[in-house]
Formats: sequence, structure tokens, C-alpha cells
Amino acid sequence: MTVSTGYEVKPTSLLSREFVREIWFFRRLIGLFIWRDIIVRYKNTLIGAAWYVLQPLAMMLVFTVFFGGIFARYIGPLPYPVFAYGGLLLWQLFSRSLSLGSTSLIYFGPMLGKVYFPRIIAPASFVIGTLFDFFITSVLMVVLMAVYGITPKATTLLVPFVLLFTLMFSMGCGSILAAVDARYRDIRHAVPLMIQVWMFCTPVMYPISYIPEKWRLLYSVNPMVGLTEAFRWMILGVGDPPATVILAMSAGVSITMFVVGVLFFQKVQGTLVDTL
Amino acid sequence: MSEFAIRAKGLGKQYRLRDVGGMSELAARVARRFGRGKDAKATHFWALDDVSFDIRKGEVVGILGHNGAGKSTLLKILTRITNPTMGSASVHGRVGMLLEVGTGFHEDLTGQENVYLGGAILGMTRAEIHEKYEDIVAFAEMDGFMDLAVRHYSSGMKLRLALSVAIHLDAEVIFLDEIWAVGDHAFQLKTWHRIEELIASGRTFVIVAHNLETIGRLCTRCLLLDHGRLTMDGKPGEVIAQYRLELRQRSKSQRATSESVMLQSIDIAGTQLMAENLAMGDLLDCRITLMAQRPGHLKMATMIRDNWGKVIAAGEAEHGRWTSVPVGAGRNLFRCQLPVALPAVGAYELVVQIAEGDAMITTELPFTVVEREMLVKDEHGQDQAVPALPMIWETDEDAQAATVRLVTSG
Repeated sequence: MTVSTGYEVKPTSLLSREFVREIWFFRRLIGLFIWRDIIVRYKNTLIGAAWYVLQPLAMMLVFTVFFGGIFARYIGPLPYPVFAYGGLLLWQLFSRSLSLGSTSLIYFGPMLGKVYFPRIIAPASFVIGTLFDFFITSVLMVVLMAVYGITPKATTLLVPFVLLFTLMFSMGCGSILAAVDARYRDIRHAVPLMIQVWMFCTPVMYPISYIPEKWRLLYSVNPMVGLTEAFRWMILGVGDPPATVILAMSAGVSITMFVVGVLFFQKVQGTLVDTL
Repeated sequence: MSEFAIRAKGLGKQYRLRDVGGMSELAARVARRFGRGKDAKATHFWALDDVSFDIRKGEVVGILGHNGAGKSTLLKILTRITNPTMGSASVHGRVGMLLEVGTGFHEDLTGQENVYLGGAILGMTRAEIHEKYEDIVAFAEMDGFMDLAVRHYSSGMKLRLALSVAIHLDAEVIFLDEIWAVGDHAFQLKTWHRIEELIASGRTFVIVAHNLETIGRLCTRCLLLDHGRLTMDGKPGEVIAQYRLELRQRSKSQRATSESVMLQSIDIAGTQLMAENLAMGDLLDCRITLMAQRPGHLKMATMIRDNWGKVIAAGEAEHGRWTSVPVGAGRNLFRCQLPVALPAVGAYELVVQIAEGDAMITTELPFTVVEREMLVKDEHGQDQAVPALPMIWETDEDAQAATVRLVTSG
């Protein structure tokens, strides 16, 4: 049964009622792209999923060996490997979704010139798809916690909120980066560098208490600060929960970035093909 | 529900002439902001300029135009691949498309997965796609290959599958851009028939093709684009004729570059058909004036092309197509006659070819075959219009003389 649809063609397309209807119309496509993205990453590989665990695992080992001693006194009774891996777990979600989101248009490149679908689906499907990787890498977290005899706290159930805000943030940033990259190709070179630096500005391998008090608020403008601390605390529960003001900032910046990013992308998406 | 499939109003599309990104572009933009930069005209051009039209459901519209006239741009805008710079359009109904010589397939997926992808883009459910799946594979002649990743397909395979998908999936408005090079002859015939079937079932088509016969046969209406503007909108026959006229004028300004010394030394000072409206049985009478700088020999040939540019008859000389004529220095007048024995009324053109060795120049003279009819009474006494053929009665003098001798002698 085919339902008749139609559309308007206009110079600039901002958010409107049409947008929601369109996304609904193309909903199957989003699922298809996510599924396709995952399949393609595993096809032709021998150990497939294991690669996703190897990266945070290796990083964690490196950090433990080189930095474990330095930061140990800041994290109290928590074993450093678990601490570091917890941070890396969320970080990987963010860095992958940002990286994939910002290069999503390149990936879809030729297709964009031949068929139509709402372009926002490109970064969106990649960003959502990183959740799958997250679940795979979280397996090792469970293993580590078992090894060190740490039981997860009840607050673990709040983790989905952290994931949500993280993805909103990377979606917002990724959308802007992807759109700008279509015009100025520098972006795709800048993003990996940016992510590397960003990681050091986030409490992944060190706790927030390592940062001097007077800088902490400024430091926390980076939403990944609050989100990483929250993530670790929710699962491991050691020490105080992150300060409310920091959590509020993280949530606020994430949401704002999401809205700004998607709006910007929507404004620009109509002529992306001209410069891609 | 609207009776219109597509409505376009004032569509315009501006493109940059130079590549984007980089310091020079940034610098140019800043300069312009301060009122010092180069005029926009130097760096931009309008691929489409104020294009408006309405297409009703069920129409088969052909878009004609020279290379760069804006045909593909128009289709890209109507299918939302890119946004117009100004103007607006609305499209009613599910849209299918095959644009450019590319496919929109994802290389890493298998053929089967891509078919479902294509359907999902169209908004179809898995069930709907599943229904058509076998037909799609059979039409594309891709049985057995569907589990292979598309990156391993030959370009022909990709195109056949893409075309098959575009045609079979449930679309009410279908955009086709230059798909006529896909597949071998048998496949093209198949495509043609399938498109005819779809047309008969009421789907709306927007077609870009350079093959004028295709356009002439399939389309109910034609739009002519020239440098981004819509210059004509009407019946295929008329638009095609106009298009061909423009092509001719364009090529006139690009006179043949011949390596022939003799050809370079001549100039066609005038060509004329003594009559431009002819009926069956008439004689095409063509006069050509050549100015030559030196004497020599040239070969001449003629042929007749129909409204779509297809050659349908050729002049016959003593040995093959070419007659060798001597050319003297100065003014030469030639006259060529051909009988009008053509299959139908309509617009044609006489092409006169002048050659030396491999080099050739041509000149075209359009003419029209009209019907000259006479009224004759049929068996019921009713008037019937029939083609009139020129008839000449003469006394056959020799036979007459022989008969008289017989009578008087015997």
C-alpha cells in the first residue's frame, strides 16, 4: 500500500513541521544505515568486534603503567585500571561518535549526489551506531570489575542519561563539523588532532580532583568533564558525586550544542552537494 | 488531491565558478564584504534562471538543451539533491530517480541490500520491496549476483540494477537523466517497453536525453533550456525542431576545420532551395554558390534527415554517394535535384556535404513536406481526400507514327 507523499523545494530549509514528518518518513532508512554501518565494519575482519575492545584496553594498560603511580593518590581506594577503563569507556563513545559524525558526509559522498534523503540522517546514524561499540567495550568493564571485586552501584541505572547527553553533544558538534568540512576541507584533518587534545582536557585518566579548585569551573565547561565523572561515579560509586553545578553545566552545554548543531546543519544542508 | 505532479516557480541556481575552500576564497569574501572585491559575476554564474512550469500527472516531459544548459541542475533541484538559490517548487507523489551515470548505491553492501536501501529511501516497507524484488533482479539480469558486494560489479551491472530499481519501485513521479546508454540493445528495448508500460499506467516522467528520437517518441511535452533559461515549452515536434535549429546555428559558428587545402580555399557564398514547401513527387531543387581561390576538384554528396536528426535517405551518384565536381577559381554555381519521395509530411532537411579526402564541410537546408491533396469520389459517391501526385501526359510520338503507317499501308 503506497501512500502518496510530496514535498516542497525551497532555497533554505530550516526546522519546521515538515522536518519531523520527513524524519518519520525516512525512519527505516536510519535503521538501515546504522545496521549497514555496523555490518560493514565487521565484514571481512577476523576478530571483528574484538577490535573495539582492544583500543580502550591497550590505552588503559599504557595509562596504568605510565601514569598509574602519579594519579593513584587522587582516586582513593579505587584500582587505577578500573578507574581508567571507566573513563575510557565513555570517552570512546564520545570520540568515535564525534569522529564518525564529522566525516559522515564524506562517507556518503557519492550517494548524496544521486538520491535524496534528509542529510541529517548521515551523521545521526553514525552517532547512534556507536552505541553498539559501547556495549561491546562495556563487556570488558564488567570483566574488570569482577576481577577487582567491585560491585556496580544501583546508580548504574542512571547511565543511559549520561549516554544520551554524550551523544547529543557529539551529534551537535559532529553536525557542525561535517557541514563546515564540506566547504573547508581542513576540518577533517583538524578533528583527530582536536580529539586527542580534548582527551587530555577531560578527566579520563585522572580524576577532576587533580585540577586545582580555581580552574575547575572553567575546566568543566567541557561537558565531557561532568559526564565522565558522573559516568564513573554512577557505576563505581567511589567518593563524592560530581558537583551539581558541574552536572548542570554539562547537561546545559550538551543540549545547547545539540540544538545549535542540528539547526546549523539544517540551514546549510541544502547546498552541501554543490561543494562536496 | 492536486492534478499537478510538479509545479515550479522562478527556480534559479547559482554556482561558483572557482573551487571553494582555501585562503583565496576567504580573502575574496572578506574583500567583497568591504566592497572591494571582484564583482560576483566574475566568480558566479546562474545555471538556472527563472524557470517556471507546471507538469500534470501522467505527463511525460522531455527536457532538452545544449550541454551546460541546466538540465541536470534542474533535475537535481526537483529531486532535492540540492537547493535552489531562489524560487520554489512542489512535487506531489513518491519520487524515483536515476540521475547522472551513477547509482547512489553503497559500495560495501550487496546488490540485495542496496535494493532494500533504494526502497527505504523511497519510503517503502520491507514487505513492499520484497514483493518487487524478484522482478527487479530479473529485469536487471542479475540473478545469482545479488549476494555480491556492489563494489565488485562492473559499471554495466551497477547501472542495470540501478535502472531496474528506479523503474520498479513504486514511484509516481520518475526522473531519468541520461539513462539511455545503459545495457546492450536488448536491454534498452526492454527498458523502453517498461517505461511505456509505466507511462500507460499514469506515472509522470521527467526525462533528459540527447537522443531526439527517444524524446520525440516518448514525450508528450518538451521543455527547452538555453543557458539556464526556459526558452520553449510545448509539443515535442516543435521544441525538437527549435532545438535543432539552435544546434545548427551553434555549429555554423564553429565552421569545420579542415586540413584540406582545397576546402580551406572555398567559401559557401549562398545556398538556396528553390521551394521550401514541397509535396510528394516534387523535386528538391538546391542551388549552391561557392567562391574558390583556386581551381581543383571536390566531392559532393547529399542526404536527407528527418525531424529528429536521423538520416532517412541519401543521394545516389554514379558510383556510391559522392560525385566529383570540378571547381574553378572564382564563382561556381551548382545545382542539385532530388525527388521528394519521403514517408510522411513534416520537417526535414537536406544536407549537402562537400569533401576532399577526409575533410568535409556540410550545409543544411530545411524544408517541409506538405500534403497536397485532391478530392476524389469514392465508391459511395463521397468525397475522399487523397495525396496528389504530379502527372504528365504526352503524346508518344514514335508509337503514334508507327500506328499511322500501319493503318495507311494496310
